[in-house]
Amino acid sequence: MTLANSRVLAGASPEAKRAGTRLVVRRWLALLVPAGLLLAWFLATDVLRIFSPNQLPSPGQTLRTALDMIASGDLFRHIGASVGHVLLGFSIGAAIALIAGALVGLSRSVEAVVDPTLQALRNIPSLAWVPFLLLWLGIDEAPKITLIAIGAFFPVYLNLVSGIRQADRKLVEVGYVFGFRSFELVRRIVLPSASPYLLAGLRIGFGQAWLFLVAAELIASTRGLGFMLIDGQNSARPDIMLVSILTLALLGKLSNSALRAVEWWALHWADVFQGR
Amino acid sequence: MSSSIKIERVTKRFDGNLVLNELSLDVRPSEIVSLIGPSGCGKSTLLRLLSGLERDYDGRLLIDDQPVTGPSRAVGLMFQEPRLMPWLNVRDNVRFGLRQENGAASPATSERMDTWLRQVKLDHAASHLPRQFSGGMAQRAALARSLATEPGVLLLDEPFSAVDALTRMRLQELLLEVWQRTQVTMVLVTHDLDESLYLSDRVVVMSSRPASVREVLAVKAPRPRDRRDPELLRLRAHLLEALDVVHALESADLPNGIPFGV
Ligand SMILES: Nc1ncnc2c1ncn2[C@@H]1O[C@H](COP(=O)(O)OP(=O)(O)OP(=O)(O)O)[C@@H](O)[C@H]1O
Ligand SMILES: [Mg+2]
Repeated sequence: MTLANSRVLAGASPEAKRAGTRLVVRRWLALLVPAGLLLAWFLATDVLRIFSPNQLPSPGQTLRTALDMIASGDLFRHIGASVGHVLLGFSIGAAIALIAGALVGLSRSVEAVVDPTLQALRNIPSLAWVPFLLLWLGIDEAPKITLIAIGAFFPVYLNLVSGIRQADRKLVEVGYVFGFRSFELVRRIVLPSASPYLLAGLRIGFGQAWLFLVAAELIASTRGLGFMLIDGQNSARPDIMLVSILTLALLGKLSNSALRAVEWWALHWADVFQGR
Repeated sequence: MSSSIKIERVTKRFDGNLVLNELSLDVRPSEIVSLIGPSGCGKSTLLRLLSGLERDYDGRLLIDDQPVTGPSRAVGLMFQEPRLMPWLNVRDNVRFGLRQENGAASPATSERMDTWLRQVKLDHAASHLPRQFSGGMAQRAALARSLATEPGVLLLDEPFSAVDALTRMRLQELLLEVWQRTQVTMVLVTHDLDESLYLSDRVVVMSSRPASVREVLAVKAPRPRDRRDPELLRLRAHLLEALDVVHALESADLPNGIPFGV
């Protein structure tokens, strides 16, 4: 916990109280836009009837569909499948990125060999992989997991490499003075220096994994939120499509917040500008 | 904990540019020696050579009669900036140079860390992070870190030049206290003549680049010293003159010479 924040929580001075109030108000501000959208949605469907129910179902209808799917267990089955895909794909992609990023970050020669190719691969849009993955890996789980792993790989890799490269030479020199060998230098100075970048990379990579998930589950699947989307489209059920999309948004937001909390906890030492 | 230093005709080039030219200097165990000289003459380079950070030199560098081949625990180096690890609290920074940092510090180690923290008057702040520190506190932590590995030689490169005058005097006192306790041999680079005279047994005046020893001045005043001791004031005037000579030579040689930064 930062000094400033603990003062806010202790809430001694009026100044601190004001700061605390500001914090709470700011939390609620986040709900302003969603609430406005919900109202607009309600007006456009139930009240003004700009959209027909088979174009855009009303909030009430969507909620009923969601509750039905929760009751039948379908929603959680799909969520479970998607979360499984994301976690597995992300873990594989991030693990490979950690190794590749560390090697490239630490060695100019490895960088010269590997990095140009990776930079080229990075520019391939997610959907462009799909036909090949199907061709190579069949239509089972493997192509889906691979696609998600590819999505997670790049942010983690790129951030780790730049994190390592911005490690302060002056701090590394402190390690030299104490006679640290290269492994110790990396573990005790370079990697901690790179950790803000790495954690941001992991968070962005996790977000990417969710984005690639939908592309992955659009491929011949029978479960998952991406499948729900296709299924809703095929059976002309826009309410199911909406439930899928809203669930994706919610899960993405939740995982992002969770990883932000981890970052905040792990990087409390950083002396950075945090916005006003 | 006090080693001797022998610098024998050491020559150092950077990309063919001569920086140190056959520089020789002996430092006795427990001695405090200051290096002063024009900016860019090679003072930091000499300390970096002694600490093993810089290699490829001609001549001989001996610590306790052992040639310097690379960084070693026998030699501590304190930089102009504190260079604390921002992710570690003060205690962990102080024991950063010790090997057994993996959680399970032995009771003996943690007791020694407590002693160091008390010595540099940071025991109340042991769990604070560096970003919560003033410049003086950070430099005290850096001093404790350099000494925690119990080197026989402590090299200090303008260690107090970034703090205000009052803090600087406090840090000088602290350095002397530490020296009284450990008897560590110290080589101090400074641009502050008063600092060099107050702290050291000898003041070494270096010539401008390529540097060699121009003059060595013994400071005989007994410790504890009075900063207004007439002996120190006399030596100060002498040093000013000596440096002026260096300066004059420099500007005669190079009309656009490196400015002399005191
Ligand atoms: N790594 C390096 N590569 C090339 N030249 C260097 C390197 N380090 C130092 N030099 C040069 O060596 C000379 C001496 O530098 P050094 O830092 O030792 O000077 P200094 O006496 O400590 O100066 P100051 O009082 O300003 O700190 C300078 O001209 C500098 O440009
Ligand atoms: Mg210097």
